[in-house]
Amino acid sequence: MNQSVFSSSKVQKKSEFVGSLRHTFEIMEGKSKMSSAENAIEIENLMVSYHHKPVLWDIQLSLPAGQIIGIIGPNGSGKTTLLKSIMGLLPLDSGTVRFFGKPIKEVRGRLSYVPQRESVDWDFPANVRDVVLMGRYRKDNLFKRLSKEDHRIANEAIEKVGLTDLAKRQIAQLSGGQQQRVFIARALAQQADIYLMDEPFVGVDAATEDAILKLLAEMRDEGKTVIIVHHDLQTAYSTFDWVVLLRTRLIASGPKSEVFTAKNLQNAYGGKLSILSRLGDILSEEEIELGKKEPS
Amino acid sequence: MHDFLEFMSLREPSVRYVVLSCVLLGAAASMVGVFGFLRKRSLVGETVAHSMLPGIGLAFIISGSRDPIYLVTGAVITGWMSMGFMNWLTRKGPIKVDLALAITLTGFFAIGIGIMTYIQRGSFGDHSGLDHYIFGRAAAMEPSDIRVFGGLAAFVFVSVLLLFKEFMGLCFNREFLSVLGLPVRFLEFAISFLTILAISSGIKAVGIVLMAALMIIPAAAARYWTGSLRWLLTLAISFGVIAGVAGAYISFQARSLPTGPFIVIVLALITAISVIFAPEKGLFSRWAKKKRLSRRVAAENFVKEVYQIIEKGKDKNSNISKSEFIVHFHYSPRLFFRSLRWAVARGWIVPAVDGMKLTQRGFSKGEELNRLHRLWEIYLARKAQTPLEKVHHSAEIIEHILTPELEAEIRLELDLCDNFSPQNEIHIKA
Repeated sequence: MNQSVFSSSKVQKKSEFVGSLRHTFEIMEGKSKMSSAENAIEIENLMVSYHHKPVLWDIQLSLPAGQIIGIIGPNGSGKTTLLKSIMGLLPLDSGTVRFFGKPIKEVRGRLSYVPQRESVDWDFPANVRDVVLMGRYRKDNLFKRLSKEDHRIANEAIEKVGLTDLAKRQIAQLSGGQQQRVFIARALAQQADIYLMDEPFVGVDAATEDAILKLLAEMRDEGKTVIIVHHDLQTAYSTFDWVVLLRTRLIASGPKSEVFTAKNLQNAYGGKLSILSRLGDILSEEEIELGKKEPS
Repeated sequence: MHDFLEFMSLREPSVRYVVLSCVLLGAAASMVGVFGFLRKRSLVGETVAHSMLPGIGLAFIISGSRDPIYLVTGAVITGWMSMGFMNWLTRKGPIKVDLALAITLTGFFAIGIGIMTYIQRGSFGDHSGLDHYIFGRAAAMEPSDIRVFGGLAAFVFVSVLLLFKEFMGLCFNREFLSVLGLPVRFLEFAISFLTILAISSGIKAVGIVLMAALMIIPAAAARYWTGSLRWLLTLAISFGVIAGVAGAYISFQARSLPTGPFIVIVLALITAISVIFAPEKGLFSRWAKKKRLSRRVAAENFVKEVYQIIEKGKDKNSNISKSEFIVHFHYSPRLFFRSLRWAVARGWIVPAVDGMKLTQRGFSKGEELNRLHRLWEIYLARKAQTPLEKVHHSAEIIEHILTPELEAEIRLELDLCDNFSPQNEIHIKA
């Protein structure tokens, strides 16, 4: 099924429906028994734009479960946008994202998010435990107090990142590395299956980096899937099992040894202004919206 | 004083209920104000409050009555419209938040004033008391007013308590809550709606012009005292309640005085006290901290310099006279005696008959400072490629603040052995 770039949202819904129908048939035929079991995330035809400028262009991607996956690419290549659109934080122009074969609505509790450290105001009046407990917020404990069990899980997460002594410390008084650990503890407290982290190694000290790497390995061994947006090409090879190379469009995705080829890296980091970004300028100037019908 | 005690005894039923509703609205407004403050949207309250004037006027014209139920409904509706208008202005196009606030506030308020003038000129029956809604008149509250406004405030208070943890999460990190699958849009709606209700609960007692002060100021003042959200709320609510009661009191004492301005004066006083006297963040404690540091630095410099005289070939226990010190270091008499006093107070120096002596602690302090000074000079010269003529000046400051952990790290990085002693290194002259 070939989905048009300029499909309307109605068409998109229809295609989603057709897609799920097809999926059902495939299951009935026993075709896709592996794909949904093995893959944590499947992305189809994903297209996202910002102020009419395409940031992600026709991304087609399957990410395996139980691995540490790195999303790599130069500045402005859409890494964070990909992460956010996977989690449904950004409106998609087109495309679908499925987790273990299910739409996001059915797997909310199994996703965990570690945002960029700079994305929040650390002057906020809260202590370490307050923030980690946020990982226990649920739709069904709205209006209610958190349970003893929630507190126990949060304390466990705090211990895992080595902040037990600082549990009552105001977050404003923490170092950058400690703040990052608070975010990771909050994600751990969620007890999710898929962890999506945005640049967790930026601005942290060596001790924190080691602690995070150790935790990641532990999580993988427990069968969790960890997806990390990472800008540092130097450390990428040693950190990840699976690598997604991105530059507005998908350059490559696969086991790291297959992805890290000279040609792929040249494609991702190579100099020339790509046709896509030039096209993006035009789209932005003319205020053409992707995923909508052509302006008549 | 007697009046005040009489007032506070709440013997008179009319006083009792007015005070109760002022307590409630002070608490409710300062409570939602904390969340507005944390979301950096303090001025939204100001705009919404002013935008309630046309609603009050229109509600009076349409209903032909001064029943608070109608007036509050009108106020909430135009307050809500103003919020929608602000969002619409900023969503698309070049208008930024500050501009949108200014446009909305002045626009809605101007329309409100127009409607009020129209009411005064026209024949709409008894419109006396409508002007209370502008600057507030707590004492003029009737039982029906108190039921409506007090009820609103109580509703806001309870709702915020119930949604406390979600509001905290929303203010800190909206996207995280959204990934968790929490109804973020509903929560945002709730926080906005409760803000509007809290403001509307004070339109008669405090008045729309100054009601926003009761939201903004308690939170800002409380932030000086604490870094914990629970305490922030507790303190802000206390400040709001104090201001509310003070407003009610003045309103009964001087019946011609409007309540709003007096409440703001009380709040300003609380803020001034917070700004000056709060621990850590207050001006006074910051000034004291600075003073302590400068005294320590002066004392340390003094000890270091005495140590340097000894280092040049004197016995550890020998007396150093004042004149000998002044020959080496050009201290004014005032600075000399003050530095001496602070060094003595720290037990680094003992005064002797003909001058002064370093104590054992003073000697090791002087040695430490000298060592740190030179260590930093070497570090700058080797690792930061700083020109030699500049390293001394920087080391004069850094020697006072290097911690043992940092010293160990610098040694490690410089590859210096543990028994590094500055005497073995050539002193880099300024």
